[in-house]
Amino acid sequence: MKIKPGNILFNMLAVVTVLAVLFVGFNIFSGARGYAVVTDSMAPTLNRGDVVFVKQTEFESLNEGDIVTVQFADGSGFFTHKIVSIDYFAGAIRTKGDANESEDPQPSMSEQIMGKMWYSVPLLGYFSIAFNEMDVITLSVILAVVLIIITGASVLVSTKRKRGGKNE
Amino acid sequence: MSKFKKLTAAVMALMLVMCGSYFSLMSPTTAWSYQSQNISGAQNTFVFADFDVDGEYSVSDSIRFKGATAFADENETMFDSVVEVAEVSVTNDGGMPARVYATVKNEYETKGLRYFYFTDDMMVDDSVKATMKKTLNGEMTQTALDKHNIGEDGNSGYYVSLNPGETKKVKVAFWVEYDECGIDFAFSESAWATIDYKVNITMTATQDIDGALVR
Repeated sequence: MKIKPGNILFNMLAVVTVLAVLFVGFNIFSGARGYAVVTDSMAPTLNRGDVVFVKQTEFESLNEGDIVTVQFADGSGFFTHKIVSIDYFAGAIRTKGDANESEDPQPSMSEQIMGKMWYSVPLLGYFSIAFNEMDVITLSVILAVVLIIITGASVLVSTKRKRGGKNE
Repeated sequence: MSKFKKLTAAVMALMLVMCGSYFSLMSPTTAWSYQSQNISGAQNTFVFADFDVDGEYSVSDSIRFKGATAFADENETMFDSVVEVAEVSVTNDGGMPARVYATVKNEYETKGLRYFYFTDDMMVDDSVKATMKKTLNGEMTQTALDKHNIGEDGNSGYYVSLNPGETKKVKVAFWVEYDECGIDFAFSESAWATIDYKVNITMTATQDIDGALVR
């Protein structure tokens, strides 16, 4: 039985799609939120390019050593660091990156905490890093190249078919 | 390829694009991270990449002033002649926008030493004094100078922003206040005498966000 390259591609696409959909669905329905790690301040626990999935947790159930994602006080972004001390009375935590020599300069309040790290996946964060670091021109060029490749491939396939038809 | 397969492939491609978008649109999580490097006269370049707090160098240097002066004295015309300027070339070799702060340590805590952190694009009439006057909005006081250099909290102040791959020249102007340095012959305007001060300049590259610096 001759295996057609088209079938192999179709099956590969099917497997990748099913895995991707299951993974995304699992995270969405479990209430986890993903963040792409951009810096190495938590290395070797978390490295640049990892995706860290966090789940909302009651402040009272947090402990020293937990890794949490925190929103900056001015709302401009997020950081993910390890808790080094907790003031349950004041509702504040002090955090530190594993690779940093000192604690973070400011304490974080409970309302800034987005959640506690559930698990992390390496490399997936590069999707977000690439997307965020690319400018409009680069994105347009990539899109144009992809369109050219798709158009070229479809022209090639149809030409082959036509030739095949004539031969028959 | 059957019609069913074609339709399925199109749906799968769409779902893959949606999954790709899910990962691409994830919020980036960064952290307070920074790299510091002390600069001396001999070592006047600061190249940093993705921030790594292990990069520490400890180099101090002496500055020999030709005389003392006073930045708040309107009648002091020789200020720019006695001011000593340290120039550092800073390069962001990493993949993220960054900012560079300067911290100056007066090694022996000798009295009267002042400094002003600036870049060439701030210069007014090629004069450090005129540049300071404009930058400090005419408020030539120690408080205004400290606010510019290190901020009200001591962990902020003036910084130079650098995009990935960008290089800029940053400068620190030093001078000695004549009514504070405690040297007899310097108790006059721009007293011409040699005065040595040992200083340590630390350049700190942080993420381009407030609060990342700890002095």
